Amino acid sequence: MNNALSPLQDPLIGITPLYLIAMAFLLTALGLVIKDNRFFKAFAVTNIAIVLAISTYVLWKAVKNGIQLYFFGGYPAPLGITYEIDELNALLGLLATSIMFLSGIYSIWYMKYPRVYLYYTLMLALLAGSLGCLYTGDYFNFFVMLEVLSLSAYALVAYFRDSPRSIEAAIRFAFIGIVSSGFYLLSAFIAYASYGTLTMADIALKARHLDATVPLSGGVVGNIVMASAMMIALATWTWTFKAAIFPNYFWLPDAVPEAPTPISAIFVGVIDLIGVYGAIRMFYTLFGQNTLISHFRPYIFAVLQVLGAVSVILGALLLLIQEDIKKFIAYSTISHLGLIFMALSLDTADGVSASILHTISNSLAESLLFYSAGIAIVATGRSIDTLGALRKYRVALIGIIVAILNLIGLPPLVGFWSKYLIFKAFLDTGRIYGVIVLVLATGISAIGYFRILFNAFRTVDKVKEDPRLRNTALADITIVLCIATLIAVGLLYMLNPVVREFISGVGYRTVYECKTYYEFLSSSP
Amino acid sequence: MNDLVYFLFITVLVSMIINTAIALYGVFTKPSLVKKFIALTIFSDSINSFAILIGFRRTPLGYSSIAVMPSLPQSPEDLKNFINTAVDPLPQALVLTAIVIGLAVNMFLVGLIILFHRHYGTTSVKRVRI
Repeated sequence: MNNALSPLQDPLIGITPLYLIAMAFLLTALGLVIKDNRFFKAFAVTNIAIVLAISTYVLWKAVKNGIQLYFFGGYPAPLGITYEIDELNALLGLLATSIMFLSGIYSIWYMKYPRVYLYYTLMLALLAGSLGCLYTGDYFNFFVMLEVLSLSAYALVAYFRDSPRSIEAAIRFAFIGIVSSGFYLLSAFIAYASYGTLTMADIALKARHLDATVPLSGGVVGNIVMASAMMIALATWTWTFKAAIFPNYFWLPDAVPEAPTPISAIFVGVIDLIGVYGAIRMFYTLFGQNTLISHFRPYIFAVLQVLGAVSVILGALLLLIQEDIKKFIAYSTISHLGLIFMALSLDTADGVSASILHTISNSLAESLLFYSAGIAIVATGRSIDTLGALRKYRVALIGIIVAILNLIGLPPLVGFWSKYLIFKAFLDTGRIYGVIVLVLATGISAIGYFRILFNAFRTVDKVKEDPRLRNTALADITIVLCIATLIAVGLLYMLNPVVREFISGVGYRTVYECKTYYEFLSSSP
Repeated sequence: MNDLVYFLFITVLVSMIINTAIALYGVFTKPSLVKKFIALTIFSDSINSFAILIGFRRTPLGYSSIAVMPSLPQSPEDLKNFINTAVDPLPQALVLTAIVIGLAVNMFLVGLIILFHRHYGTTSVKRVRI
């Protein structure tokens, strides 16, 4: 492995986050010289498009050839930082980059504010952080990328720094976010102290075979069961924070309304996805079935079931009383993410694939809701009552209708199939309360969703004069792309058995075939 | 000697845990943002000192107490001596990374608190009406 790049390695995987960070710094430097905002917009969207192409290629390669690896600096796995991609990473990475790409296009229309280059710098850094989180195979590197992601997210919430409310939201978000990242850091230190390694594949191997030896890394030390349980307990705090599950949900309705609208879409679409990904990686790949802490897993899953159920019901109830459309979407996201966490803590392959599909459906639909409502926010403000400004903008109106039908779960759209999969996963494991929570929450939140639809068709007299309203072509393109993706994913899932098998296969391989994740350790010379 | 080292080790470990708890209490209950911020830095510093603690190792009997990299050319015996006495360097590298990240986060937070003070004329979250 030292002499040359092995055929397994693909430099594109490792270079992508670094490339984005380099471009982000370059953009800041150029901001001192170039004063034309159009340049920054074109620059950022081009870079995001390049990364979108790369992540599509990575997904294609991961599906075709299995696990993709990249060793930074050529150091073999337990020594250096490893980037490791299987189908789960690659699929979620493609989802994250597509939402970032849509937000990038939408920002061209939306950003009529000063300091555009700083906005795009932070946006590229956010994409770099989320891609790094998704692609990394190193427990500590995940923390570094998590901080890149979080720091740019805090700064984007405080983007409108002349508004006191956004500063306050950013402070609240940042304080709790730093504490939760600190817990993850502590769990990384515990991982190193007990497992003697930080490579996720190595941890996964040693959690299954205590006496396994890997070249260049020692054996386990001390009470390994206790240490693993502490790692899980500390990191779960971080996952639930990033995914906005019940005790840690409050940052989302705080931060989302104050951020610029494209960033709100990224918050509900990308940052929540990192929490879901981290939880799946930790509970199945690292400490899955037949590991040394398998007697501890039912308890943590029971806790997650309760927390998920509480956030489903809480989100559904709280979205009914919202007057602010952005807060409404935030609570709707909390409700759906509770459902995702309930599905992924079922400890079955069906549950995991259902949660992945629901993540795709939820991320796209909530972002679409933000993109469509964004036009009304520019025209009349954030109140739900004045959503009727959309009557003049047909594309945005269609966007809202499609997003809401998807969130309720209407058959040709992907939302129906993901809810159906969750329903089936609950029934298969005999959890009737899960079915009741699902149906109840869908019913309760449907009242709120229909209120949005009803208000979107009402006439509104007072419309602000804003130059952006004269030409909404770019926003329309974003909305059309998002609708097309939603419908295409739904139709593909319905009509194409290959896609169905792929989704259920991802869940199956994540839960039962973890061996492929750490196999490369023994094959390295 | 070993008992003393063990006692000191346990003392440091317990004080780190107590430190973390007190810092968290400060973050969540103090109304002043500056005090919250100080508590937050104490929190991250206690976690970092825990990582330094991981790298701790007792010098085995019969070795010199300071690990010095043997000069070139190295015999396998020299290397073995060095490895038996040297401290694990990786936790220190991790802590350096964490401190640098913490520096960026802290700078950002201080900037936010200054902006907060400019808007509201106070750093206390209790005296702010939303």
